[in-house]
Amino acid sequence: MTNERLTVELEKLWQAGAVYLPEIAVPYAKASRSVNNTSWRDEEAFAHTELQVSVVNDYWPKVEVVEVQSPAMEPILQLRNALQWLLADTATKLVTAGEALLQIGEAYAEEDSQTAEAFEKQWAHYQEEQPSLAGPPDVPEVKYPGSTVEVDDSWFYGEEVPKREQPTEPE
Amino acid sequence: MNSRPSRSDLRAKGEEVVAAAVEAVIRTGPEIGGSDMWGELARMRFESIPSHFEQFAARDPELLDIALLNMEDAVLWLQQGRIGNMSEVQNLVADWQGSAALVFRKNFVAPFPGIYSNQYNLAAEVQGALKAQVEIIEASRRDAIAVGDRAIEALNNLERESSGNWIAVALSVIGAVASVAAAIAAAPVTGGGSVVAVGWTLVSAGASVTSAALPSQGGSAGSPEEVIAAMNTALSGVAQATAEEEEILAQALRADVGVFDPKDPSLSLPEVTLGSPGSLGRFQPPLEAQG
Repeated sequence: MTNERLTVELEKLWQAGAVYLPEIAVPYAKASRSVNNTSWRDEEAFAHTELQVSVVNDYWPKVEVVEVQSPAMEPILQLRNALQWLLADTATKLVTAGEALLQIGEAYAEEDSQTAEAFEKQWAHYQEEQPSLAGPPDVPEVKYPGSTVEVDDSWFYGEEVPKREQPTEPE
Repeated sequence: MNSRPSRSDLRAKGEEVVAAAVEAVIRTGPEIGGSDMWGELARMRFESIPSHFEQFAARDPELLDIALLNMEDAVLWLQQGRIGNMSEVQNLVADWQGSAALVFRKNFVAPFPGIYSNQYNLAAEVQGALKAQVEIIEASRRDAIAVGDRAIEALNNLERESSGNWIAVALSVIGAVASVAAAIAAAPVTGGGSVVAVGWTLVSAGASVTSAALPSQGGSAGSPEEVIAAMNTALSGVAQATAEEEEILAQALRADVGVFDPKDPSLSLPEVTLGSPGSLGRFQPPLEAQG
């Protein structure tokens, strides 16, 4: 006999693990990618040149062009990397937690074939009626600090810039 | 003038100053004829002035603009409403029993809003820091242009009186650059409904960021040469304030780097092991569903 209450609970577990947790992971993963883009030519962005005058042999003036970096660069990049790590780590843990809930649900379903069948039937119904609740969204690859920046060369006369990913849906 | 003077705007301002200085030399010089010669000599004397203005274009904000745009994207991603779905997760697993279910709700689901809030504020902090670095560059350029405008005004007002005394004109450093970081810290970014707030310097209400101390500049100037000398001192003051403001920003952020701990439970989600199929006793359906 089908355990209707268990079927309902397995559906809820499936929704939590397959839909809601990955849905939270998506903006985190996207944010980690956007933050990764800020590492494109980052040390160059904070640098400028200055004329440095020194004296050689106590007499001859020597003028050199030296590259100077803003003192703010180092802490900004440290905080940026910390943030990026947190975002990528959070996205990963959300996905992992979702997968764990699904494994638990599947394990309980395997113990009770009738319940599993009822659950499958209900899920097929979801896929027809409520596709938003019927499957996991694609969670993009997260980017930890030091990841390669994907560039777009179609921007300005072929000049490369990081490929931006902006949220489009109004939420 | 737009909010970000370009290299050519800065050079043009320097050339305007040269023209005004030459004109002032001719206008106020001894009436012995040969104004062309006076003018040419003055032009040679002042020819380095445009480069004094161009030095403020050495810091180029264009790459920082790109970084800032992408950082703004990141903040927008973190504003997506679906992040609030954790409350749905809370409801969906509310009735599950066992130690793993309890730990999942207590250590993973419940602290998430506070963790999210602190992470969001860190994102706003990094965004604010990049914005401050860009604004320091823009403000230093605007200050340099303003110093040039004041110098031109002073040069245009120089008149030779019969006694030979000059009308004194004061120049002062404009000083917008000196308060960029403090201004950003005074208008904190809020978001995420902070539950367990980490006090990031630039985005925490009440955080105090000082302004760069401007050296005492200006004073009276009675001849074109004195106006130009006062202008150069004022430009040096702007350059000094720019470097000092960058250092103030850096110091504020270094304090935040010291605060950051990747293992801080108010910033980082824990690794939650929910159990494998072989240990389902730790994550059980509600009693009514256990047949």
